[in-house]
Amino acid sequence: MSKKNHKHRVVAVCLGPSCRKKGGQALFDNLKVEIQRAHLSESVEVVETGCRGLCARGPVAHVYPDNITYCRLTPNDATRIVQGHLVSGHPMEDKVSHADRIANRSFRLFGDARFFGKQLRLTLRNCGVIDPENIDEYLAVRGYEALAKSLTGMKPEEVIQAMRDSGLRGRGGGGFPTGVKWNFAATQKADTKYIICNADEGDPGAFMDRSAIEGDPHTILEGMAIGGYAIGAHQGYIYIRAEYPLAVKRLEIALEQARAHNLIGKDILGSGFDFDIEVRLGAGAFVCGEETALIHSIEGERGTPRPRPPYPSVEGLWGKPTVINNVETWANVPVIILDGPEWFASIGTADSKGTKVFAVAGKVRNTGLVEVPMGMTLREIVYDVAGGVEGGRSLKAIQTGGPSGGCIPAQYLDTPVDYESLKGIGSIMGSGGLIVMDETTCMVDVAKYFLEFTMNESCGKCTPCREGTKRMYEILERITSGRGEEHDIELLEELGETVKFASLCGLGQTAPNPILSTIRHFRDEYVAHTRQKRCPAGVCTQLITYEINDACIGCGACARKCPVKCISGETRKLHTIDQSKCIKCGECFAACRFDAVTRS
Amino acid sequence: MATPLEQLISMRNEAITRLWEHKYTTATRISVGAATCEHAAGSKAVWELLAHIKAGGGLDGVHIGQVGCVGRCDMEPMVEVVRAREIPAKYVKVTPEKMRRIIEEHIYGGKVIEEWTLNE
Repeated sequence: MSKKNHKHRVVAVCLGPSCRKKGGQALFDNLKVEIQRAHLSESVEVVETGCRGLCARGPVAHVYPDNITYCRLTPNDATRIVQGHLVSGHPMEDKVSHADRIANRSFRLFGDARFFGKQLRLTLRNCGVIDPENIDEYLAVRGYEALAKSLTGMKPEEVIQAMRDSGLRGRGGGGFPTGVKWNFAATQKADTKYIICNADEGDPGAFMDRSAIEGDPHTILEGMAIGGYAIGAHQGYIYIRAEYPLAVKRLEIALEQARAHNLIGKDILGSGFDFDIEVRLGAGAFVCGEETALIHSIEGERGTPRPRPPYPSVEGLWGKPTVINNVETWANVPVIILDGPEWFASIGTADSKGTKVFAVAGKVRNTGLVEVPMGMTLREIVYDVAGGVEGGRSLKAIQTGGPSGGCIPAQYLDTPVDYESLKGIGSIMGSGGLIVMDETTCMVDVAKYFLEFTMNESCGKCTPCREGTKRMYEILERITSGRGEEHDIELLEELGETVKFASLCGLGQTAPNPILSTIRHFRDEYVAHTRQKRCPAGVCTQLITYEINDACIGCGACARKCPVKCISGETRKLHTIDQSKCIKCGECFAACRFDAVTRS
Repeated sequence: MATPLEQLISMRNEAITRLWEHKYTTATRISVGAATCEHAAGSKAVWELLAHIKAGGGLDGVHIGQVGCVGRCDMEPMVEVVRAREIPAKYVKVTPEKMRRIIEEHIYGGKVIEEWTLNE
């Protein structure tokens, strides 16, 4: 290989007090000599940096733009860094700092802002960092190295074993071990097999997949190609909704570039392995996120689910063994191959390894997309990463898992986030929606909101889901409008359990979760709505009344704000609200500066 | 025949060389957030302003590029300014008007407008 190929790197040696004492200066000097000797002086620069906070593992050095941090170096390592890494392109594996590789990069790019400081960005490692439309930028940060590594020195079984050792579980919500799923498909005897990326993100308020694809599309392609190699598939599909036009565009650009570089297509990198990917657009039905419905949709059939087993890994797309994983799962694959399953398994809790991306929304100061190690508590996510509840109000509940998940009340804030713990308190991990609610949120109203969504999105194939969600919605409608009876709560519980038990697919099986979890944790609110016809949070408009008390000075501010002109009274005299016309919008309540308008 | 890994490494080195020539050696780089969320928050107008200035011969020696979103929905649009030997500055809620001042004061003047940068 010509020298021209190895131009332009920077080796930054820490010369903070600790590293200097441990031999950093000698390392720095040796590096300069070695670089000169290798005739790289014009293309490689050695610079000194201040303390990087890795004193315990000093001396440390960082190579740009590869973003590799070496630790516990000795002055003699200079030769290996120059000859091995800079000349031949092989980093010195035994001294690479695995623990800090990605964390370091986040720090360099984002500073120590609290929002980023507590995160561990693995799948989002390149989002907001590289230009997603330029493959060079992905290649520069070790892009496609995991694929090349798999094709060079790993047998398909070894790739699957790495997935099993890593402990990676499906990030779409189910949490099924990825390595086990791949192994099912790999051991099937079939002439054709398929890989599918489920990018049909439908939860209200969730945008993890969109952001990941728009910020770093190549990671998904690389993960899928590795999966194809592991199970013996030569064709992959990305199923994504047409309502994500930018994500679709970036995927198409990435595919084109990857094909031009022979990273996707025939005989990838001269290995003899063929793998191509096609993007399929969905029309945005929520049920198509369910794997069997999604497969039907790709086949051109109506997007409805079918009973399992057989599972797709045995009988999937066009009846062939198919591995279907979601975007975040695929994005984890290159990380595991590149940095090793042992390292990946060292992150997280006993049964949930790695990280999880959450779309944090609701009554929280810093809404956004965060990626945290499994096992972090909900409190840390909400208060340390997302900045706490908006306006200093107190937190009431956290909803995880979108319309399939449940509400977790504030007393469980110290629950670690992993698959089993969330299940234990009546919610699910889901695909990563996390909605923060404060005291101004009515839990019955929240349950009604999610149920309206699942009711509308029910595909109608099975009766428990089609009829059950509709009936449950009607009961909630009754309760929130003040016509509910106390036995409605028991009826909801009974109906919920039935729908959960009898529905065909995940949509129906999880649809009652928002109701069941809110009844479990906030039964008193349901009782207040039914027995006292009162909405404690003041949200259900038909249960609240606005009145004007004696504190009124007759300024007329409320009357001017009222959109239906139902407030009357002479200037400087007590005003009154005509209850028959009032639409309970709350404008008068907000307008009064003398606390004369009351809500009950 | 080179192994896939060897081929990939030489491909990467070529990519780094290309990037170095077009981007990394540029003393100042501006990265504008460009995801659906960023666009919705108004980042396209900022991008168009920069492209317009660039097309008119301004911002000489400054690299302008786009990146995906970093997840700070409440702070979008975000623009990152990287200058040689300086800590990168991430500007939040950038409008074309703000961008003009950032160009004046930071890009040309060398002074970071602290109150517009991400601080939490």
